[in-house]
Amino acid sequence: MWSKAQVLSADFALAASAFLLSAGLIYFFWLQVIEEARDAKEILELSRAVRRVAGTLLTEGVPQYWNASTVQSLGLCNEGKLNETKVLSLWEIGYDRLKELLGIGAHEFWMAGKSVGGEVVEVDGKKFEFGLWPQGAAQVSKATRLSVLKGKVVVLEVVLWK
Amino acid sequence: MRGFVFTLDVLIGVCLLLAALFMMPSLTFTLPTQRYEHLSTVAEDVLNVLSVLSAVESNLPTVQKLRGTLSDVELNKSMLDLIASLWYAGNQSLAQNLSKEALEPYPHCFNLTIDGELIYQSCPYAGQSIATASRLETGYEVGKPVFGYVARAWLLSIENKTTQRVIDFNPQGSSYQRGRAFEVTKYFELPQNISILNGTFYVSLHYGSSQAAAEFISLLVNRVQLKAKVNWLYLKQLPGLPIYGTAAFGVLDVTQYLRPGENEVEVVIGTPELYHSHLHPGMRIVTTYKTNQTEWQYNESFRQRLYFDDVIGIRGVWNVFPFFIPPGATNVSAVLHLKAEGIENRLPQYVEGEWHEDVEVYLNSDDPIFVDPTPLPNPEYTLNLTPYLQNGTNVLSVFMNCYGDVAWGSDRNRIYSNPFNEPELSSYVELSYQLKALPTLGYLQVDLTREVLYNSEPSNPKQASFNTSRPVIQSFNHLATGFSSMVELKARGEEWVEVYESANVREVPTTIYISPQVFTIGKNYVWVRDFQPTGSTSLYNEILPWSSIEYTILVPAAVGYGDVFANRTQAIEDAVQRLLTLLQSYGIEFDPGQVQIQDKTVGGIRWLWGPSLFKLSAWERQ
Repeated sequence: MWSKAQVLSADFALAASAFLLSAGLIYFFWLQVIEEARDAKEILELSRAVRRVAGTLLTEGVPQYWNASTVQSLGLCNEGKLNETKVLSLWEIGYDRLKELLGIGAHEFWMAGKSVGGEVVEVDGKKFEFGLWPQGAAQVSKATRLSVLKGKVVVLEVVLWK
Repeated sequence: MRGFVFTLDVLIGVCLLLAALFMMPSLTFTLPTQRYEHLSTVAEDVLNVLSVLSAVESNLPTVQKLRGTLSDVELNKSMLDLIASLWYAGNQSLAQNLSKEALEPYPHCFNLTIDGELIYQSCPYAGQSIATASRLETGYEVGKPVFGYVARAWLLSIENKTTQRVIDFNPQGSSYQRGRAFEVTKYFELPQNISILNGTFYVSLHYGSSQAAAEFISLLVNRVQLKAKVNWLYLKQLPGLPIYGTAAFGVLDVTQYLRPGENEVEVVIGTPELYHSHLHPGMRIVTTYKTNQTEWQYNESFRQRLYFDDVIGIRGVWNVFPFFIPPGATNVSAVLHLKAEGIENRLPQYVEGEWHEDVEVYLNSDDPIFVDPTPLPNPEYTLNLTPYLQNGTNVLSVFMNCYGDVAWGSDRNRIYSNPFNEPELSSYVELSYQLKALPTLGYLQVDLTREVLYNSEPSNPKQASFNTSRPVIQSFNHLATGFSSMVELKARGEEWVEVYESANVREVPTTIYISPQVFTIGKNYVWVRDFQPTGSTSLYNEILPWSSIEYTILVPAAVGYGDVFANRTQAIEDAVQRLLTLLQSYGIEFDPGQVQIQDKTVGGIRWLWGPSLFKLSAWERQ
């Protein structure tokens, strides 16, 4: 005849092991979910930020016809089209100053003007491609807008990443 | 045994939980708002591209085909401008092709409309989420010059404008002796170069009782006897007293007997057994004719000689003679020249409570402005009426050897007038005044005169109305009565206004001037009452339905600048057509070929379509 203590210890050991295993797994995955939710929120914010930046680039900026030394607010268009001079001023303004003007804080960015076929267009011999391409980025978000540059439809791609 | 079952349950539960946890990170989804935002951005951007990218830059196949057909200016229009221009020019297939080629490169479905009309839709189905961008655009019409012509036009004359004129016969008489007739001859002029369309003669008189020689004897229009043509509309005798004669009102068509220029009407009326025959208020000829209407000419100085009718009475002669001075007239003056024959120098007569002399002249009062107790047989008077004048209706009453219903002459008397042959020797009132401005008179307008009958049944008092869509610039009331004594007339536009009240017995003028300021656009009224000298409403005196309101309105005779046309001729043709349509809308009948129109064109007018609302809707392809 079995004693209660013997039965209890074997069952208990098995049950406790199963419970601890499952509790540990639950805790592990819970942490993962929390992490992913945090990432998703950041991606959403990044997505909003990149749309805002793309929208800003399609404005005229301040002043209306700014140059690298007078620009207060960035915008590459005049009369609804991309202004070639303003596009060329991007290189003159420089990456860090552009980040300030676009208000993107700790994020990095990349932008390019492409034809509808997907080729990067040239402006005065320069490829309309500017900024840092996301390499090894934890989060990346892209926005595309349409505009006109030198009589051609241009797809303006903006990528924000960190 | 129970322990194993328990452990297995736990393991199953844990597996399920783990499965759920593994699945969770892979469950990604896109919020509907994000999808809509994206579509909205696409629609906005594509519409913006269409509105800023020129057609020539796009180099689309349809644009290439249009090279050579369209000018460089037109090809430099934006895509949206060219699409709309082609659409409004009727080239809808070209507009659709261009839209298709412009929207094809993008990976979305689109729907492009202009003012609600579908130009192009790229997918035959609708999306779950559709975003729409809109833009208000305007542009030059394709196939037409950027600059065109506009024209306006106004009338110089209408050679065949239909208008009316009313020729009044004043109440006048009389023949007081049984069996003897009195005669009235009226001389009047109609404008030259008119075409008479209609002439209606309203005959209103008091004739004798049923004795052959004492009734209505003769009615000559330009020496043609028309007595038998009168259609009597109203015949009334005092109850039980036929010997007082008959108040009669009739009508006849005199269209073919009137003529442009000088006209002459002679009426001979027999006498009642116990009363006197005379003309009643309401006797008039209404003529409708086509005339040359020149551009409205406004004169500051007005001078007119108004002639009496030539009237031959028996035992006495009288005339109630109305004339009119418009409100605002200045430097008003009037002179009466009165020439009479057969007047007798008799003792004063006591009539209606007062003594009356052989010649009495009243103006707007029951106190005479002139009396001659000892007249010559053929007197001639020149009287200054100026001190007694008033604005509006003035009523001059001349009595010779009679007053009211009483006469004391013994034979033939005459107030002489023959303006065609002896204008200076005729009896007349010469009226002059100045008008500094008449605000209702407008430039480039045509005057139209209309006469509206009272209608309905004879009654006393009586009310009538008329409608007008244009401001009234001149108005008269033409009174037609049976028996009459004295009258008062009120008119109402916004509110009732006292217009006229007889100051003296028998002072019932056929025509009463009503200030046009009384009337308003819309419905207007007049109200007339016949009353006795005591003020009480007359029992047997009636206002007849053939009384009328005559009013003149000015209608626009000019149209402003219209649409833009490629050349001057087209612009003028359009302006002329608009002018003719306008005139016809006011019932002005004319032959368009006989309208003299002045036009003016202005070149260099931008030729635009729109503004039109474009809407571009975007949704995901399936």
